[in-house]
Amino acid sequence: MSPVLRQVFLGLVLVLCSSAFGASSLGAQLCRGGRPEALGWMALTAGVAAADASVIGGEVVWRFEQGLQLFGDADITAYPRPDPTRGRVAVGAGIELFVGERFGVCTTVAFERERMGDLRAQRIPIGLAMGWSVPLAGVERHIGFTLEPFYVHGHARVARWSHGSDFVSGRAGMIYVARRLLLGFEYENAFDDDARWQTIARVGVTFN
Amino acid sequence: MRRVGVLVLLFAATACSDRSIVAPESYGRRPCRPSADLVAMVDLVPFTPEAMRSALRHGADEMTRAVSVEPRQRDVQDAMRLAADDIGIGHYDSACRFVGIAFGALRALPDSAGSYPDRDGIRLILALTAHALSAEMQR
Repeated sequence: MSPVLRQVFLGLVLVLCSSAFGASSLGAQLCRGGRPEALGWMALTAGVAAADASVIGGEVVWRFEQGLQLFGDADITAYPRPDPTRGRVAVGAGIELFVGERFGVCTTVAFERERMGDLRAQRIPIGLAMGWSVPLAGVERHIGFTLEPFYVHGHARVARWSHGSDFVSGRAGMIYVARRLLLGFEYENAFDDDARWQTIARVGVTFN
Repeated sequence: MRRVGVLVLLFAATACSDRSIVAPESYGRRPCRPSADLVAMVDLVPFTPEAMRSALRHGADEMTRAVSVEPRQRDVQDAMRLAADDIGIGHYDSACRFVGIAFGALRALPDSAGSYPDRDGIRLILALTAHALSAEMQR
């Protein structure tokens, strides 16, 4: 089986197995810091990353019944010349494991593809997203905090040579929602030889 | 619990089944920088990367013939050719990755006394190319 097919298969198996643990109550919005009653959000992201890079991208999160949410995001990382630009797209799912009134925990699984020059990479990050939501005074305002450690299984290819690697990474962030406006920032760090990090800000709208 | 066990076994099997034995640094997610070991082999005013293209091609076509047998020999040849091609079109990040792969494949070749002169020559070409790329990328 090719590396790409193997990783897609693995991702599907993980999503199906994870769904066995999912409760069917509220939406899986809390674990990513969103407003519990919203259907999801759409946002633009921009920030900085390791190696003097700048990042720009976008993301969509959509909540379904049965404690399931799907998300997709894409970004472009621009490095100073002569280094090439890095492009990344990811699709994934979050499944609610636990949800309280203001606290939620989800397991997340995604499939990522990345390209930088002749480097092609596929990765499967498997995370545990924890979110805490605090309502603020006033109408429809709240602030959410998130923490998501994840384990990443990856496969990279340069021309006909390839290499597999696994590493641990994590992100922490904050989201502020006022009516339908969503603002936030997030810091992500990989704990491997690349020690890649990025900090992004996001601005978007929630779906009601 | 049985499902969890199957899941863990499946994941472990997949995660452990795909390892490169040469040059893992060539697959990094950050922009490539030549290996410090390779750059440190030479200490001189660097050539331009373009000045190394003929030497890379000569290394790929002539010098590797005496070095060893397939398939590592082909890895060295192909990676050096691709490095020369990428330097020609200004893709230094890719050239850097191919230099790393060629050096890793060269190190993995079996020893044979008759091949030492050519191996040393190829190593020198790769070191000079890494030195040139390193200087160009720091500008």
